[in-house]
Amino acid sequence: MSELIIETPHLQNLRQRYGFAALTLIFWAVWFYMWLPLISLIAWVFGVKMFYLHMIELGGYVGFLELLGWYTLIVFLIAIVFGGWMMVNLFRFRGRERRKPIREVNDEQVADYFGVDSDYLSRFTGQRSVTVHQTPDGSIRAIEARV
Amino acid sequence: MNEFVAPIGKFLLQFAYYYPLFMAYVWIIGAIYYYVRWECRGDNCLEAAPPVKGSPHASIIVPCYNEGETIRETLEYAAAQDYDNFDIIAVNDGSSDNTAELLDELKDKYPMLRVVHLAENQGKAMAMRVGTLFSSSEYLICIDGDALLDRHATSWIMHHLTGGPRVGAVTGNPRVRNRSTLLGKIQVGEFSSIIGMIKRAQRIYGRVFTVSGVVAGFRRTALHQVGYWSTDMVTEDIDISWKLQLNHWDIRFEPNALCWILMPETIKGLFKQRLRWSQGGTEVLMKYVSNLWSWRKRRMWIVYLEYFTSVFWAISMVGIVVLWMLGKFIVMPPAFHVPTLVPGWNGVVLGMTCLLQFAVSLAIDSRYEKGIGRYYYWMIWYPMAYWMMNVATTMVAVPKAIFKKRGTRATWESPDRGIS
Repeated sequence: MSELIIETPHLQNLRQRYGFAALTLIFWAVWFYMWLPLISLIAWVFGVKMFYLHMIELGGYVGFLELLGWYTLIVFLIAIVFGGWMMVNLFRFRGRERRKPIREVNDEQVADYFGVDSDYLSRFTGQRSVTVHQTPDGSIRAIEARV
Repeated sequence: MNEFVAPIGKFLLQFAYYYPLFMAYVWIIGAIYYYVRWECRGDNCLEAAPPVKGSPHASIIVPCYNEGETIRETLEYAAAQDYDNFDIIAVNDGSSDNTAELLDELKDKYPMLRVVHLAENQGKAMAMRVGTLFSSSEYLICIDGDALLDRHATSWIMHHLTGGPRVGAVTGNPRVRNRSTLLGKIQVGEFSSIIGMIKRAQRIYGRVFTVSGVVAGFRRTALHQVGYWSTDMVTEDIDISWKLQLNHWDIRFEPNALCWILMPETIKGLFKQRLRWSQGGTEVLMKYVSNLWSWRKRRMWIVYLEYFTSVFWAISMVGIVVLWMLGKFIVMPPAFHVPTLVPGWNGVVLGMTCLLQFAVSLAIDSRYEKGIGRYYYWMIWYPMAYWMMNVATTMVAVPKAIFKKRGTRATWESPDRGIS
């Protein structure tokens, strides 16, 4: 059996391989740029004064903590609602099937649904290889066994 | 006019930020609940599926279109299932390559294999309908022609299908095989952190958006009741999922039912695939909107609303970026002025959330694939570039779905299967 995981980066050219790796690094740099407020806060703690926009104009770490507080509350509410919904369903439906079971269809009903005579179809269901001819709307016109 | 437009503009800006942020936490929390409830139990062992009472017969249906390069492997894995009562029905859907010859050759190698050739290409949905016609099983496991089914997958899927009379379908756990390129590596993480996580969370809610078309089990009676797969929908998997659930059939997710698949590794291939997914989702939104107005169907409302909101979000994002760019060249009215795309302190929270989502999902998924954590490094691309791809495909897909002629047969296109 073949290997499940296919990892053949050598099939790319050097430009692709190293280009994408470099771009990924740049994206991580951009990502850390979004953390600049937090980095600025830490830098300020160590006496480096480059925080004016985030610390003063945007309300500084006080604003960040307030924001975090609201987010934590909302995430907590999501967890409660989702968890509560799960428990309610567990309590109501666990081990209980309220919907009516439906009688299993048989082969004749399936053949009838597809507009094929079940006796005709049964001549081919045992064959190892068949060809099916259909009309433009998909109805089965004819079936033939392949030798 | 400003008093009217300004609050709408402010709402849209906030919505564009808050929606992905809080939805990420919905998925994370739901996935953790699912993991604790179902996956980290002592009796949940990847190597040993629970016994299936009576071992009822199952048919593995493999619709094929130009699978000459992959069908040997697919059938090799399908034939090696550890379930002891199954057959395989390969449906050659009018392939133009050597798929037909290969299938006829392989039936001599695998006694449980039967081959059905469609004289003309009819599309995947029709191929599966015909495959069902030739099966005598109540239980059908449908996989793609290039998918490698884990040997325990059939047992795991049958465990669910026989576990309750109203289980209509079971979706398996697709794993990405090809990871040679950046796109391959991103999709490994995506399948864990987005698809796997969302499926888990949706199962905790009780309804799913879609089965994975590449690996799913079905109850024939359920399919019969809802009219089988629709031949005019570009994503027949989303459509059948909605048909089943709107008729009160359960769809389960089984993470142990692994299936190894090939995903596009070129931008063009990926765009085409995601465009089809997006168009299919929109087609389903339009098809079933009138069907939902019933209290009995209320449990699908949230699934519908979430997907509709995600489409609305993509459109809002495009609007915001366009307004921001315009603001660089002309003076915009205050209500339409977007000063910056960098969200300040909110960006720190968004950044933390994104990294947390990927970390949680890869940790949960590491159970099924050792060493998956090393793909975390590549996940930085997901918010940077992948979101943009998803927004772009939505913008193209929505008009395509709206203006598509009703009843047009959906046929195959040969997929991008990676660089090797």
